[in-house]
Amino acid sequence: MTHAHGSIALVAERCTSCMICARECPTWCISLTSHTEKSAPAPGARERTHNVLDTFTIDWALCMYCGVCIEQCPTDALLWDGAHVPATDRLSDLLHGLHGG
Amino acid sequence: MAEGSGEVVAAGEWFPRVERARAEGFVHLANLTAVDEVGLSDHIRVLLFLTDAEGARRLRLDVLVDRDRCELAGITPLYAGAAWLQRQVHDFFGVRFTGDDNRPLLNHGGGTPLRKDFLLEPRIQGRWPGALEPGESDASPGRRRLVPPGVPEAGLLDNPDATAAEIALSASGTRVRRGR
Repeated sequence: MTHAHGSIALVAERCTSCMICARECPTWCISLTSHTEKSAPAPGARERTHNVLDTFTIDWALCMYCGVCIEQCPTDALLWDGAHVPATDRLSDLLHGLHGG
Repeated sequence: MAEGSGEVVAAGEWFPRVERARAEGFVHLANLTAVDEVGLSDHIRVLLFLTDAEGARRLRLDVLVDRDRCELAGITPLYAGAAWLQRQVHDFFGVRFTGDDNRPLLNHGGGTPLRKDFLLEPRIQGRWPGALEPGESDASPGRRRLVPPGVPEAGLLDNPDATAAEIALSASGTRVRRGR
């Protein structure tokens, strides 16, 4: 598996909002918000609570492409993506929302 | 980098020991760096890596310098290349090399950034994205929060009796995946 220094991509379906990537990131470039929802998997089963990802952003101005978030994600929801982050004129344009609002 | 651990030299013997090492054939200065031993002992450990001309034999010499009276003999008369390495150790650990140049080389902002009780103020004041819990969008007040690496426990800095070792340990942070 090649690790091109491209960028970091999110597979939102695998994210459980566990916060591990945001906590392990050495530059604090990952922010995510989530909420909880309840569901009953089968009729009569006890109600369960699960996390739902709302927003997920990476500030590419801070990211140093170390890949610790990819290594630490327990569900492989973060991957190396070949595409480089495009250059911009403003620092604020480097804050990319990868999911949600 | 060096086999085994370093030979520890008494601070008062530093220059003569290094001079003897050079006379024994260790004529190449590979590296001069330091580690803050706070938490183990109240010293800055300065490490000197020497090799012979072919790079075949290696020698590592360590010296423990008191953290508060932080001075050591400069060795540029023996190795001219020590000059910038000593200035870098001075920049980041505060070790003063007597008889040699101690001007800032890389760190012109002051302080001793590689000492373990040196704190990053913006991280203490700022908002850590990891402070949220899974399932949260807003930090709810009153809930005890994880502290990020580099930030000591709240209130410790206000305690005048807090030692450098306590601050350094507290700022090592609560580990997310590994135990503290």
